[in-house]
Amino acid sequence: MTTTQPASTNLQERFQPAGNPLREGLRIERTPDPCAMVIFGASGDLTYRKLMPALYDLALERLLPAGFSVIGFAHRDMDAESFKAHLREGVERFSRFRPIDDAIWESFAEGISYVRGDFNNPEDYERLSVELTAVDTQRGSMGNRMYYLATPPEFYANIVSCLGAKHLTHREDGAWQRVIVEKPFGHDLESAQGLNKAVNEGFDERDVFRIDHYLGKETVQNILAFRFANGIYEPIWNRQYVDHVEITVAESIGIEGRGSYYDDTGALRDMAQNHMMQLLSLVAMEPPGSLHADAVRDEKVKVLHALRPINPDLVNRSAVRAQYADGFVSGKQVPGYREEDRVADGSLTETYVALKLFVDNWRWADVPFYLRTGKRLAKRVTEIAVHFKPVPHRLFSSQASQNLEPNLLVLEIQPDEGMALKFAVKVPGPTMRLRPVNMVFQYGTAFNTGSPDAYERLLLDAMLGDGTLFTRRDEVEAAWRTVTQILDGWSNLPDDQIPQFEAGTWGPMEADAFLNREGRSWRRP
Amino acid sequence: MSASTRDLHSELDLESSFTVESIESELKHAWAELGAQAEESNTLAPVRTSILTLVVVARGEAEITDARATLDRLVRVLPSRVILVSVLRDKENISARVSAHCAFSLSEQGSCYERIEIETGQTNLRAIPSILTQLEISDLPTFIWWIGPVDLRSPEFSRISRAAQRVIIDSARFNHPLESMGHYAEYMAHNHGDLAGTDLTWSRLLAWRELLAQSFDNPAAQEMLSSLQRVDMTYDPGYEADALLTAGWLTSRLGWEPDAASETRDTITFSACDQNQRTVRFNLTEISGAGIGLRSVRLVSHSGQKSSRVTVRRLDRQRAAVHIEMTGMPRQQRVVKCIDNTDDQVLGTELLQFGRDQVYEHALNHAARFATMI
Ligand SMILES: NC(=O)c1ccc[n+]([C@@H]2O[C@H](COP(=O)([O-])OP(=O)(O)OC[C@H]3O[C@@H](n4cnc5c(N)ncnc54)[C@H](OP(=O)(O)O)[C@@H]3O)[C@@H](O)[C@H]2O)c1
Repeated sequence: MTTTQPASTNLQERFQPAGNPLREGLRIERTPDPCAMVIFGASGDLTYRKLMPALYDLALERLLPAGFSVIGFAHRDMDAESFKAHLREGVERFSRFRPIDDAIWESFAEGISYVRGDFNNPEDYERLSVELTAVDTQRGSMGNRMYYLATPPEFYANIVSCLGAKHLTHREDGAWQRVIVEKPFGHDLESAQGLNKAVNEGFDERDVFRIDHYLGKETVQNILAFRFANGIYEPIWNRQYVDHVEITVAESIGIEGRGSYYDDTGALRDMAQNHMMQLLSLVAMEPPGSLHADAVRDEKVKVLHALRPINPDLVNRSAVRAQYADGFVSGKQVPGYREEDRVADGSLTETYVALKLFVDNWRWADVPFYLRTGKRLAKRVTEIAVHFKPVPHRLFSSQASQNLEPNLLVLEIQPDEGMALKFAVKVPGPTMRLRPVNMVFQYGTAFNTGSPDAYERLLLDAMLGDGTLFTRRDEVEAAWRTVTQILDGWSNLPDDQIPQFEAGTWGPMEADAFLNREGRSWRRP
Repeated sequence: MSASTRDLHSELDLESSFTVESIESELKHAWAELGAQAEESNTLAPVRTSILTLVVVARGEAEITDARATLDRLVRVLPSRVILVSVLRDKENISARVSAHCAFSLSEQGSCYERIEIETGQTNLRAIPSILTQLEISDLPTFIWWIGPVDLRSPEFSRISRAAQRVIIDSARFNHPLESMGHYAEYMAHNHGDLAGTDLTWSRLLAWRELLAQSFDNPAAQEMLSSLQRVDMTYDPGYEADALLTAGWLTSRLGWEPDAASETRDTITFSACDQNQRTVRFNLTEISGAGIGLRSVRLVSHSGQKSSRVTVRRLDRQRAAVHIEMTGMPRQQRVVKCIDNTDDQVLGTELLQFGRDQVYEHALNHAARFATMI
């Protein structure tokens, strides 16, 4: 099966706005085609907490097509009624619109059914096939199918091959068949390539939607608007003016009972490979020619391809890892990582990672991009800080400008979305004294309206066939290439120690030293 | 907004010394005061963010009270400079009151706005545009909302409206909504598109437009649009403007020309011609109902062996039912949200749209043409 392709004529046709004259001037260009969504792993946590609440919210917002249906597929023995009752409970707890509207839920739930089956048993897919045919006939889904793999990745290959064996991945009648896959997408480059190959055995790349829920966040999409809807930043968005860029994704929570998953994964795989690489590529990418899915993703992937390779033998020059020890977060005492449930004694899994990356291209040559992420840090914050170079000539006396710092532009993503620009002003008075001030804009003070949940946006886009906010195969592999170089470097290190830092602080001293060596220091967001 | 909401409020009265400069300087005081209050109560410092200037013209106590209540809710989501022009019959001079408000809740940043209330009598209305021009925030759009009925052909309406880029009326509040549509269409035509206009009645119909449009997204269904034969609508007493605007929207979007109209006791019948000179009939029937507004729209079409019937029916103030019957397709039926939005919600939606709404303008023109035929 193919890997990534440039937008084909066929793909372009799929994005032509439908010729519905009544649509002009309305919120969206069209509603998705009638379709059935099959959720593999439908009795699990993701379906309960995220997918169903998002689908119900979309239904409530009138964004789903008539006849939209959901078929749950999972192991446990349940009939459709108990499946619906279970889902309803999730919607009641996690929908944006509570309390739930009985009449609308009932109408939506008419389209929900359940097929009990084992992912690995080809026979069980026969029952799924029968159910899909029935749904097409009774609800008019016209053979359009969305398969959501809400399962651990080890099942992907089998599910796709079983679907293929029952002719459920392709149709000749023009109906579409798409698949959505979740993170984690692989644990290194090789496994990611293996998963991609398995998924592409059944589905063309343009029908594969890899979720990185960060991209579904309004705030992350705003980076595109900020950079490309304003003319004033572009001329200074390069190595001539930018000294370095800092990307922080800090969490104050710990591993929240997910010890066994996290201990096999670590911060680098869990956050840096996906979310942080996405932020990096959005900040560093060239302006795309259009907002077409592949135009945007082509530019993003170029950034990842341009990342300077990391020599595994010199990994410590590019990466610092650490683990949180016990400490205090928001005034409460919290245990250290190794004391958490289902974490191996003496585990070396990193809960914190700081990276120094270079994008070796014309725009960014030699500008360091510092990335850091971790659990149990001082506070929850996601931001991108662009540090500009100092003025080329010091006009003011050293006394006047002793507190002067170079300009800084911070794009705040979480918890409050906004931006801040730091610049120098004169302190009022008879002498020339300068000091930095912040000019702040917060989205919440300009538009205090609720935003859709990331899953709502992503599910709707996938149904519409728009892949802009999903990661393409080459993006995933390019990100893994860099991350795998670091993992290889770490695995070669002889020591069985990992730096510890007190929970509730901004990370280990080693990370501070990492920047201090270069005459820089981390921001305290 | 949650229970943890805390409002900061600062108000200054300028009755005695009214000038535009004094309004600006008093506003600065009001903001400084707010900053001090925020510091005392340990909330975030208020941020003076604006995205627009909204002028509201209210005449008489009832409208003024209504306007204040709507604005109190609206500005919590849309920070703006609001200038409420209150026209009081017996008022002889012009006076102003200035206030700045912020609402905070634990989970949100504060949403702040500033309000200038100008009171004037009818005779001083002529001076108002000169004050508005000085008070609008530069480089941001200015909207004017006429909350109540107004003579759309009066010089006063066009003089004051000229201070804004976008005019908002609410024809549902007019005594003769059908007639007012004609006047509004004339007014906009007269302005040659320099001024964008809209009607909250149109905004309230958004859910209807979305539901009807959605029923024809599917290419098979789209085919049926060109063979529509009949459109039946029902509405509650007093809501014929809603039905007429919906008819105007359908005909203008589908490229049909209004042709003829007649009226019986409770039904208005129109006909329109499509590009092939085929006649499409519209039956707008008043039913005795719960005063909700438009109650149902049914689009019926036949073409050779194929036929379709799409019905959107309002169930109550919260929901609608959509039925789609089409040859070769299973019958589809579902219940969807269709909420009676409050004035601040519909106004909020309109304020996010800065340019002209040509879909509305075309719909209004067609509706006005139908109205003149009755
Ligand atoms: N939960 C989240 O918020 C979240 C967020 C991001 C990504 N993800 C990813 O999404 C995927 C699903 O997560 P989850 O939290 O929903 O997992 P989960 O709660 O463990 O659910 C797993 C689901 O898979 C089913 N299943 C497992 N083995 C099966 C088999 N052999 N045959 C049939 N069904 C089988 C389970 O069915 P039974 O329970 O009936 O046996 C259950 O429905 C994972 O890859 C996870 O990493 C989850």
